Amino acid sequence: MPKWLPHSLLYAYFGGFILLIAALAWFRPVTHQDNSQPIAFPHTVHAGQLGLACNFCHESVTQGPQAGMPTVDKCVSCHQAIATERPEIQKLLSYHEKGEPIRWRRIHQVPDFIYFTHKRHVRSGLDCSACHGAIEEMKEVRRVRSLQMGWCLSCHRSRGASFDCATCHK
Amino acid sequence: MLPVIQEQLLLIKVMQGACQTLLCLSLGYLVGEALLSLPGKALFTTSPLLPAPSETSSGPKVLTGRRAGLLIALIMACNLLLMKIAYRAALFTGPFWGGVTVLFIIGLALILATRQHLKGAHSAGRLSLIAIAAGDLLLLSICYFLLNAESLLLTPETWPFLTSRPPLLLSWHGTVRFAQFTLLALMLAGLDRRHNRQLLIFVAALLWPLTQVLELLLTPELASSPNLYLIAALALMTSAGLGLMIIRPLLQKRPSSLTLPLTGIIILAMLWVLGAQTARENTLTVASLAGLQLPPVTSQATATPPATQAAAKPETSPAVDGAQLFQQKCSVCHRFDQRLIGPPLNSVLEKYRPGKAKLTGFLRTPQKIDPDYPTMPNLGLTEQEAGAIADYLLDHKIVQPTPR
Repeated sequence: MPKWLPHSLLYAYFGGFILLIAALAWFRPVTHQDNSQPIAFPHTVHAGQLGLACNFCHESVTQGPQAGMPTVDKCVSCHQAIATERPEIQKLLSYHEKGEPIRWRRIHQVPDFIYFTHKRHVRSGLDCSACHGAIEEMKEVRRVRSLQMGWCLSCHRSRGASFDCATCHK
Repeated sequence: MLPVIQEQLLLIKVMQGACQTLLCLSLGYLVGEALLSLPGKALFTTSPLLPAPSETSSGPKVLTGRRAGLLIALIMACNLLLMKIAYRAALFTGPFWGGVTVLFIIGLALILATRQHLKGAHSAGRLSLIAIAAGDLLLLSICYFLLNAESLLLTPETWPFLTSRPPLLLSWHGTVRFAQFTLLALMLAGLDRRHNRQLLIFVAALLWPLTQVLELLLTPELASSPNLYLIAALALMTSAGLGLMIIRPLLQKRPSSLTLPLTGIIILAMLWVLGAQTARENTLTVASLAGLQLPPVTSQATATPPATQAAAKPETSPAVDGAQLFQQKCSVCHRFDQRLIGPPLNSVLEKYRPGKAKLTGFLRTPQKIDPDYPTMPNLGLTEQEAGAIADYLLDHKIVQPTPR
């Protein structure tokens, strides 16, 4: 056996694993996740300092599957008078003038094959923070629950909700 | 959280990390050594490079005696306490952790007593074999349990369901962390010049990258961050260094200095602990710990009316309710005596005085009345909520002056 063989084999072995970790870091989405929004909307102010209820803006949360984003008109109904000099509000007002919707980045998304409705969950007495965490503490909204099936099922089981497959996989 | 803890949080976390590293090293050595020492008498004494067999039976000199046991138990208690202070992990109760610590001390005492016994001229009898095996098993299972509990800190979302589903405690991530701990223990046990066990270090260093990649894959998505990958890469390089520095003396079949491998193992243990801490930083935040207390299950019948936060308040005291609702929903834009976003309420309330219904109607579906002000947004109030606010507003005119 040549003298250099074991060393080079070791180098190749560990080098391969380092490449593997680099590849993992590159390809797994978590490492370059971007939670920024077109307008830096502070939940810390609206839900935190002002104490607005969640459904003040997310109106349809008790009525349908989607909690719903507020229309630009709704934002402007307050912000045509409040803090109009701030750059982020000016951005909002320019959306309003152009009549364009704001394309918010979606942070909480369950796959297409899941039927999820906010209405039922809110009506069963769950607080928004059970799934979304303390939104009023977040400058930039991010996900704090995995939204994975095991987690859904744990809660369904402990609260006596249905865990028939067809409840969520319609 | 006490302000003092808030200020010194970083220090507390550093101390916790140091405790855990120390614990891992001392415990790893003990467990690994105990695991090998008894069967090792048969397995490893055949090495041709060994000194006379009479010397080997004198037993290990490091970490023996009561004092070492006390020290390890103390570090263990410190570690658990610091963990609790730093992360406020309300996972289990105090008596529970106390029980784990007691079991831990029993296991530790078993191993240490046997080692003390073997240090003398006694031969390894059946009793000491059983004692050391029991102690080892106890310590290893406690380590497995604790490492799983540590992984559980990465998924606070499962905490509310632990009482109904105890198997949730065990996780693949915790299992891989335990495998890494075992590898560290084997490496430490391999640090023995006379027994020429360096092959153990080499094998463990070879296996380390596998467990490292597995750990990264099994880390919950919300816990992983670029830093975690960096630490994993560093740990991998350390294990590579260990493997490379061990292979030469291994091939030449001569014992070498143990200082370098020991340093490598210590760095590896530090990175191992640091990795867990980094992962925790992402998941144990104020934001993610909120909402873990689930409300009691309401029966289907009572759950039918819309149970928004405000409407869930009892209707027995509408005046209090109205004031609260006003504070919550209206006071952002309205004062009684001054213009904010909306008009001063004292100036507009007068026209609603004859009938409450008109005011309630306006609150539920606001119309533009005064061109001087922006249209009031629809707040989505229910009939009762609007009624309560209207009551509060109409009552309010009598008790002047206004709050704030």
